[in-house]
Amino acid sequence: MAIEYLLVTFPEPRAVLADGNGVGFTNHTLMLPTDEYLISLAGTGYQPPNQDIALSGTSLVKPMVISFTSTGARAPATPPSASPGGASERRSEGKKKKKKNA
Amino acid sequence: MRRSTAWLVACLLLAGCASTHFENFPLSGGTENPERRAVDVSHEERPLILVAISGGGSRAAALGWVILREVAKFRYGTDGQTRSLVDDIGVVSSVSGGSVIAAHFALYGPDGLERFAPDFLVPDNMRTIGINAVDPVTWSRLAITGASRIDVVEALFDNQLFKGKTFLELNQPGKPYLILNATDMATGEVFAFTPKRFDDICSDLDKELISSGVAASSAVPIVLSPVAFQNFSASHCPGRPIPQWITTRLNGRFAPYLNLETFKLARYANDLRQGPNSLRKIDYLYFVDGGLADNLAIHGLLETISSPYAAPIIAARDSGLPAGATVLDALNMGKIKKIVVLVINARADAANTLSQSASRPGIVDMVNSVTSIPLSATTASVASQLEVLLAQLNAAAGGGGPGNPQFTGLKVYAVKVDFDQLRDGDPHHRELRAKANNIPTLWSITQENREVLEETGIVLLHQHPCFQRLLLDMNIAASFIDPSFAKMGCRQSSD
Repeated sequence: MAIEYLLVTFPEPRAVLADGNGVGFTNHTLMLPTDEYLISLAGTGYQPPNQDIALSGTSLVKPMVISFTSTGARAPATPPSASPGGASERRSEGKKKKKKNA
Repeated sequence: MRRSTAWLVACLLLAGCASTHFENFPLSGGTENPERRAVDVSHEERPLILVAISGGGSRAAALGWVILREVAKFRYGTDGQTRSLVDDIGVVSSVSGGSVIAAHFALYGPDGLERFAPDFLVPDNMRTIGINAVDPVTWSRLAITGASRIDVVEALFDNQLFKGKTFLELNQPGKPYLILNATDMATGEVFAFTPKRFDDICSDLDKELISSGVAASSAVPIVLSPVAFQNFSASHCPGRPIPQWITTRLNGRFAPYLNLETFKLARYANDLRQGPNSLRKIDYLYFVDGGLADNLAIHGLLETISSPYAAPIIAARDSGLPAGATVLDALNMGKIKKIVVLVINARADAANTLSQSASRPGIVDMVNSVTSIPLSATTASVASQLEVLLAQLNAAAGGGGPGNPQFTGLKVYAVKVDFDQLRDGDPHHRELRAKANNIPTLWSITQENREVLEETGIVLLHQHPCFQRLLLDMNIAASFIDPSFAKMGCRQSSD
């Protein structure tokens, strides 16, 4: 199992979701296993809605960098799991995003 | 004589009529199994300790017990109080014999360690099993209920250790995250007794007897019958959505090429959930010894750190992390500064004379080889995955670009204890190793062998450079620490 490095840029701190699960925050390098992920952010007000990435061949000094841009709407900086619903809400957030993209 | 023959015939007939005894329960309302445990990572000085305990019958249970008891002796200051290292164990993964002590520790905590020897290691468990196995009452019960040989062992675990307690009592705040690993006999996949895995089969983990999980993890094939489960996905969770991580893997263009292991994990989860385009139709599951898929129980630790089955166990309190965060989340946010992986390997390499014999080996030796060599190879493969992961975590701690200050200062301690680490050059070590390797894989262990493991376990732990390094970095004094050996043998990128 290899670890890769991902940097998700966004104008403000936001929780980064990989397949709907929170894995860290924007503008900080994140460690994730080599794999394919659907990356999105917590909350709303960003574009594109998600990005399908093949995360491999990175290093700590050369992480994969992907960017989201703000559409101006405000949103919470923490993932939905910060609410009492926890992990199950995190999963349902992933489902909502998927429906939104369909 | 005639009466007992009639009794036996009746039992056998009943056994023929009885249906299989399934040991799991459906999840009511199609909801998810809750996760109530919460590992506190809000104190930077505290390490997070992940433990894996291998298989090996009572030898493994005893070695695990010795090591846990020894770890408990080391204390350090935090928040104006002293705290034992054993309280920092957040995750315990186990297979087979290791599952007996792992589940006992997870249920009763460090305070229960003193009870483990009189309750399990001292009694002659093989005698108890033997008496039960020939008892006509047992036979009739097995016949009527559809139970099987494994139930005799399960009853032993329950009567002596777990007293009818269920996983509900394990899944509580303050308890370590326990991963009892079994092997799905039909697919060869690891099946862990965890809330997320039970979600896959729409089964209620809270209602499951702990002894059932331990028995599933230690059901040695042929000698014991498998533990039988039903898959309730179709009957009790129809139409539920498939989690996004599964659909991303199964429908993704790159997933099978980038990470075949996780792709197969997703495919198995989809099969268990009876999702679209299933590879296999799984209505029933039969579990055998978890050691068949990974005899070091490392798979569970890998999943805990970096897989979709990562446990959402990191406590939100004061840590700045959202509720339900995983170990990887906490690492990514720089909330864990010391991670310790303690792997307890009780594998015994009993001496044989094949290499000195001019006679061609017989069928027993061949059966022994074809069962043990692939098992060791599979285990070694999983172990090397963990080593790569830990090396990469250690490398990340060395720092890099401007976006990763959170990894700086992370320390990784890989403490793997193994009888092979006893030195050839030391006559006493050689003697200990020979004795340890000759301890049979049974559910009983003699007092002499227990004493061998007590000495061996302590020697192995104390001499490990990464254990010494951990104590050194935490300012825990111990006479056996050799600072230069610890620093050389357990280098940190942050040094």
